[in-house]
Amino acid sequence: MPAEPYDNYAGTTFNTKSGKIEFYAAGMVPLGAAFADYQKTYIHDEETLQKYPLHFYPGRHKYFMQSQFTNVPELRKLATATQTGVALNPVTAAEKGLEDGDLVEVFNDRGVVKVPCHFSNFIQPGMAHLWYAYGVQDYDLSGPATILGANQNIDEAIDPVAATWGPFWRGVKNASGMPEALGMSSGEIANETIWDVLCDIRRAE
Amino acid sequence: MTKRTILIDAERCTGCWTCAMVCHVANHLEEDEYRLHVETIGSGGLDEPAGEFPNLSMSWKPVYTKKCTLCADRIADGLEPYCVRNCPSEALLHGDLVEEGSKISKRYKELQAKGRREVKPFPWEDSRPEVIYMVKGE
Repeated sequence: MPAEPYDNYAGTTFNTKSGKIEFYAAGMVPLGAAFADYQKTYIHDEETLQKYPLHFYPGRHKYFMQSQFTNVPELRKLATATQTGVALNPVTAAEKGLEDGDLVEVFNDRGVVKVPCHFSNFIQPGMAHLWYAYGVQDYDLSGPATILGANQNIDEAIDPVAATWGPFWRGVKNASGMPEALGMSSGEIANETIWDVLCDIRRAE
Repeated sequence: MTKRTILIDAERCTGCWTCAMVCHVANHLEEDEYRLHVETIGSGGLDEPAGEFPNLSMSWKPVYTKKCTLCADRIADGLEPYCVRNCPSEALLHGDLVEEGSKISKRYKELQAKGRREVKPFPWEDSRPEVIYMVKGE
């Protein structure tokens, strides 16, 4: 075992003015965005927004790595102690007439997740938060949280033309050895992080 | 006689529980047995912040109970305690605070120069007396 812990970033400089990771980016001050901040959902569908006013967010848990370690009892105990079910800001919950611990249904056109609700100031008003990574076996009463979201990066979500030509064009690029990540930044398809995750919440019967 | 200390930089602790978990696993403890645990300084619950959105505050502190042996066996072999060795944010340091030029005394002076205040564990926590927290503010 080495005496000093291995440092993956020793001697690393980043392609920024300071050479560091800029959590605070001085160059962005004129734009008023020196810190990364909450941005409204990238969904222009006003009709759906009227129907499902809440933003569903499957947060990544700090005690897990995606779904890795979800079978470790100690970590599960910690994770479930922080939150079981869906977390709502008390303000949002009051609008919906819910009380802490109520059994609720989080739903949209894709499905329903039936879980208890949990009040937390951790969560921004207008959001419904569930921990990502728990498998289908952890949802006794409904489908898992992942059924509510759809990646907007798929060809069909972008436009019918892309749906036809997307797979073909990707095939050509792969054959030519072009990295997949380069294709994503070339503007052909949407960023992978854009998900349609609007939902609403109601008390379960 | 050397004075062994665990120095905790409270500003660096991210509340990941690695210290508690590595101790739990490496010492083959029972399922709910922990020699140290991580306390959330917030509104009471685990990882639950104090205040109302968006004005929230939360921090963590590892609490070393009297069951902690400060890894006497590892120290005898010239190794760091498991918790210190595995802390990913280097919030924990172990060593001789009195010894001039030791890593821990250097860090202690560094933090003092930054205006950090030394805080001892609260008596009701039944904590190891060797622990020192370095915290910001009043």
